[in-house]
Amino acid sequence: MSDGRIDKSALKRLIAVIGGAFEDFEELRDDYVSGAPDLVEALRTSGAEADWSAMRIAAHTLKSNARDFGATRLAQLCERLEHQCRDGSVDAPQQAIDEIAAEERASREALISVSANDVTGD
Amino acid sequence: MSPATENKPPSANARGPAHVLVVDDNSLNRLKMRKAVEHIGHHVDVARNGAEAIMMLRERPYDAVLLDIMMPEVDGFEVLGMLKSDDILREIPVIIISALDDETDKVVQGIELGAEDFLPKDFDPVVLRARLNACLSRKWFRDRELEYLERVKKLTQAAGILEAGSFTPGDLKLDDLAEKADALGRLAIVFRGLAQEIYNRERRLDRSARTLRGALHVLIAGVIFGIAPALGRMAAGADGYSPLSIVIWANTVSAVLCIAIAAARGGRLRPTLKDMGFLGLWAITIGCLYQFLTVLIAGHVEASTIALLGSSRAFVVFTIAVIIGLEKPSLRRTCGLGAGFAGVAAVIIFAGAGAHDDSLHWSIAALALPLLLAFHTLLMARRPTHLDPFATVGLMMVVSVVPLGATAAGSGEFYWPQPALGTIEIVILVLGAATAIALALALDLVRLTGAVFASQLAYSQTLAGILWAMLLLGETLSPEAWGALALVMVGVWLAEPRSAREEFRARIQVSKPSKSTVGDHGG
Repeated sequence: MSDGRIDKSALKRLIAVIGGAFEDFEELRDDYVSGAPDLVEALRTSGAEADWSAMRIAAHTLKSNARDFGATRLAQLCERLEHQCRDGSVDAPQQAIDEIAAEERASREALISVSANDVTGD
Repeated sequence: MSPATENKPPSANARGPAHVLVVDDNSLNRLKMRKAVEHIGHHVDVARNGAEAIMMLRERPYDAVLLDIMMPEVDGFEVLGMLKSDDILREIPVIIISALDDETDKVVQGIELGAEDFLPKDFDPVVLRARLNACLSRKWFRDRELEYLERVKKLTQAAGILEAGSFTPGDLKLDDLAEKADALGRLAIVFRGLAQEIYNRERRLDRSARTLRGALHVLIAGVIFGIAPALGRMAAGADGYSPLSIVIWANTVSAVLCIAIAAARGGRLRPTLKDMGFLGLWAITIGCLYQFLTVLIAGHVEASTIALLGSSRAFVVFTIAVIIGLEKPSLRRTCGLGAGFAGVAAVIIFAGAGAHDDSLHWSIAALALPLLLAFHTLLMARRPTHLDPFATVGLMMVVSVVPLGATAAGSGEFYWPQPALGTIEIVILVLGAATAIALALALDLVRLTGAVFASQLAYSQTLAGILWAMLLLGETLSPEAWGALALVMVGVWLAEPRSAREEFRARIQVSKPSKSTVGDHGG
């Protein structure tokens, strides 16, 4: 079960998009779960180097993935950072990245606990 | 299929699965899009970045591209720009995948660059299906339109070939067009059928014309060339008879006459080094050996006998031509040549045309003449076609005079013609002129009809030789010799000239519409 960090309607939409099979959803989820920490790491690296362009792409990708999996809060945090990167004025990047990392970890754990019953029923 | 049906865009489902390329640097998006598009029923390839996408698009045809814009290095705009600047790839529809929340300007830019549509990243599967299939339907309709235009172009090109006035059915290249069972395919079938009919008709006409011209050439050249044995016989009885000298001077007359005619006709006179091989061989065969042996043997054998033996040349030519693959054998042609040969042979055997021969070895030697002529006939098939026929004969005669002159000088047997025209001088002049004209006609005959038909010269030459012997020498002939005429004519008819082969091009004149007609339609 998730703890409310995951929007199940987003998961249902995602499952509908890929054809309705939970096995396919699991394949996508595995991809997300293995890739999300790497994206957080990319944010840290680009932040350390003050490379706003690379940070923007990493934030953009994580935002997009988080939306697909209903991690609404994480998507919002990423979107805010992405906008700041686009504008070239990132306030307290380290703090923003820490916040994103914590939310990513929590939402990832919540996502892993999602079962077929959680998303296939009404 | 009715025109209305033909113009209706095909539905995506009706065409079966499409090949779609998904371009996204985000592996999760690639996986999601792959599954989504496969679920709709299409085949999917994925590219991880813009550079990979460009490479894949150039390697194989795709029906649609789902393109992410925001990618590192080569972004979606560059991929779009490359696609739309390529004459072939520009027809592939591109759907931009965009988050939309802050990329509206990018979507607008993408549409302006030529993208067909856009799709939000959190798209509804129904929207994906609708937009993708709509793009595919438009693309396939455009594909069909382009294919149709290409087919119209092919038909127009075929019409252009026909209008140019010279063609073979293979030039039109309408077979693949005619295979399709639509209106254009039916038009191609009718067009191709009419062109084939025109070609066949022209080919038949060409063949008839060749037969007619060939027969005329055979008669004229045979009549002229057939005079040689009679002239040789006349010279044998005259004072100053020297076969070698007569041939040298006759060939000189031929050379001068032919080169003068060729120059007057503006024909090409300069042979290449390769032509010299032909001219040398031909000069030895006809200019030296045949001419000399004819005059020499005529001193010992009746001219009519020489003429009759000459008809065996046709059979020899046909046999050799078949062996070396110059001509194709057929029962009809074999019968034709055989009939002519049998007719003349019967005269020799039963009517005793050679009854006056007092020397067997001279009669046997006379058989060398048709053999030389057979070789000469086949040799003419290898003539240099870029040279004027008269120039070819003239040059050959010049070449032949060299060894003959050297032999005469070496043997001390050389006769200078007298200023006053005696028998020898007349023989020299007539023999030279007759040989020149007959050989030039023979060259043209080979060009027109091939070596086998040209070998029919043997028959007309034989009959002409008999007539000349009767006219000039008062020789008598058995009635059977006249009977040979019927067999010879049958032989000529059966052997028929060389068929027009694949190189035959039908030539037609297509009347073009007048300006007023064009104006009427245009108005």
